[in-house]
Amino acid sequence: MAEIKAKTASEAWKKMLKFIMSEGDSYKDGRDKICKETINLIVTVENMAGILAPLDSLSKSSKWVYPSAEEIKKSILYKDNSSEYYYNYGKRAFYMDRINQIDDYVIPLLKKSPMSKRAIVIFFAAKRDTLPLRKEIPGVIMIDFVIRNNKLCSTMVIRSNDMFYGWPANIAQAYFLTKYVADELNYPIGTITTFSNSAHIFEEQFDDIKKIVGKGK
Amino acid sequence: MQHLKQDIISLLEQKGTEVSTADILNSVSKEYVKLKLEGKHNEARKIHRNILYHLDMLVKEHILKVAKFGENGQKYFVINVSSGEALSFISSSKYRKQLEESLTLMPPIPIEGYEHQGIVLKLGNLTQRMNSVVVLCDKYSGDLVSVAKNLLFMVDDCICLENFTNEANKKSALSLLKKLDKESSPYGKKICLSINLSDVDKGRLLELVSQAISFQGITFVFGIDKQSLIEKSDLISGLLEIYAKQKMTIYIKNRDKFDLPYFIGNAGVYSFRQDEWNSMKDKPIFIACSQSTIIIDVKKFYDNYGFNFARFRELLMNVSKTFLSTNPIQRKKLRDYFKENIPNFHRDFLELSRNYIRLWNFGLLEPELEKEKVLEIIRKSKEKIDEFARVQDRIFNSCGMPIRFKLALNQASKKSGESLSSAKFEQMRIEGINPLIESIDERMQETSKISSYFDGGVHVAFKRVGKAKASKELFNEISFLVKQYNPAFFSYEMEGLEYG
Repeated sequence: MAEIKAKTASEAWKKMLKFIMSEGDSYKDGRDKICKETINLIVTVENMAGILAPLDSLSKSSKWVYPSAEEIKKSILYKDNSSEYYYNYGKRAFYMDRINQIDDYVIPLLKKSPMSKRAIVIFFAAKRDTLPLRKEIPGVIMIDFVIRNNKLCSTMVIRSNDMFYGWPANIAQAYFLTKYVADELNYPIGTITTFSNSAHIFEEQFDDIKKIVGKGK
Repeated sequence: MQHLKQDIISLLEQKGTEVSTADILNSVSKEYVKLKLEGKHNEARKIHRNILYHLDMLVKEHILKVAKFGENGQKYFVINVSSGEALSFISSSKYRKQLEESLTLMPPIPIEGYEHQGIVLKLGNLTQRMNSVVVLCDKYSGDLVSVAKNLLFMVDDCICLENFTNEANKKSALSLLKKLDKESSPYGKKICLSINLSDVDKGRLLELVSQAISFQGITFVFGIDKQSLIEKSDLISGLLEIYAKQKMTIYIKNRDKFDLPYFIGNAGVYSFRQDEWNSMKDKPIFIACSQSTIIIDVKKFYDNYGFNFARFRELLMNVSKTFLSTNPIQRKKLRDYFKENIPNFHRDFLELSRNYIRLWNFGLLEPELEKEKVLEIIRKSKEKIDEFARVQDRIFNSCGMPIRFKLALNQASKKSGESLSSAKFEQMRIEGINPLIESIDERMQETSKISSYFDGGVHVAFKRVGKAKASKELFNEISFLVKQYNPAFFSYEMEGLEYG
């Protein structure tokens, strides 16, 4: 278990990449790819300004096409673009088995009991995600909201987290959803934390990671 | 009658411009044309009135609008959509116009400059339809004509009726083919019938092929293997005789090499990845094979930019990025349509489908071009697009937005587009078994090399010229080619053959 705290998302991203590069354990994954991994990595971002900066960094590369902030926002806040992707966090948050976990549960709960520890949203659907032939299952398992010191804080649990390609989108998704709830409750956002059970990077990303980590030293 | 509406809309969508009432009449009703030719004006007028009624209804439903009136007062119709809107077909009776909200998020398609130069050509509409779909006939007991009609509405190029052998063995096969041809040929689309020769009724198949060989919308693909070359030599010779007499092209799939759907449409050959096909246990009955196709006219690229691999790589990346932009919108449309209109809906029907980048006129067989250089460019191109697809798939997966993005590289057929450059390459000409044995080896080695860079291998097109007295000669040639070179898919064109 390791913990990283940073003022901004960019700082957090660089710190964690550097940490996994130097401290992570090397292994071959199920597809025979060499990875470096840290188990149970906790990353907390304290300031929401520049939360999309890691995503912007990835978008600048001409080697790939990174989903835009707008697409990422849709993926977590819209329930009706599910057929564009093989699963969809927005649908699972707002319409999983016809249950709107955000508008009908989390928001009314925190309005009624601001100190509640029950405001969780689950993205993993055991009924379908444990089917043996299921190819893709969500990486994000749940997000938890708490109001402390008059601020809304959230913690996103991610079972398998590609910290280079995936985390910039995950922190953005956590932010968009937290912002949605915070606006409804009329609280400012406090911190956003990600808890990655398997925080990993792949050997083929190392060169690109070194460039990112090297920036703004 | 809903099919008539569907046909009118299809025609207008395909034309993409205003179409006169007369052109609509002539295109959507063969019966009307026939009756007019036969001078049966009263009966033709009935059809005319019926079509006018449907046009009127479509205008009232705001699906079509009158674009202008011609000199003689004739109405010209267009699809009634504004910029940013698309027409969706919901069921046989419902259409809806919807705002393409995703279009606002879609980056500009980065190939338009190349399109203006004629270097790049899109096959059909990249967001509205897919290219090809396979129907596993052995798993489907419903009405093939009706389902083919609904599929053709969403398919730009080709439907493959895989495992059609049992249908071909039925007495009603010819009538079925007539109906299928009627559904496909007016729109320039193809229905490929995949028939395994090892378990087909010889007499019935020969009769069926001889009667249906000229159907414009139907293509037979005969599956052979080394065993059937021994046991079914009479049947194969019989088929070759029919094609030779009709001076047509016969298409053959080599099942020893590739025992999964492999078929041909206007754009070229289609197939799946063998490992993916084999690993998908619960296959949908209706399974998408190719989502979109973009053709690169390599000759025109050479003419504009020379052997500039950096520029060519940039073009490939732009084509790949175009697919990435358009695929989500397309997937959504296809899922909505399949859910409503195609029986046995299976959520994974798009699982194996790929986007094709097809190269036209790439110069391998042009004598003045350096073959090794051409092969090297194709090899590097393949590596580049494979890497791009793999990384994109991984990025979107890591972001919790799984897309299953797949790209395939293959050759284009001349039928892909009228604006393609004239092919300078020489087709492999065969003049009989002895010249074949002596002359073809080098060319087949090259073909085999390039096959390894193209997904599913290449379509090896032979042109049979000269004379052949009997079909046995043709059979021996084919048998030699299969045993010696083991091509996955090949054709024998017999237009220039003097037979008999």
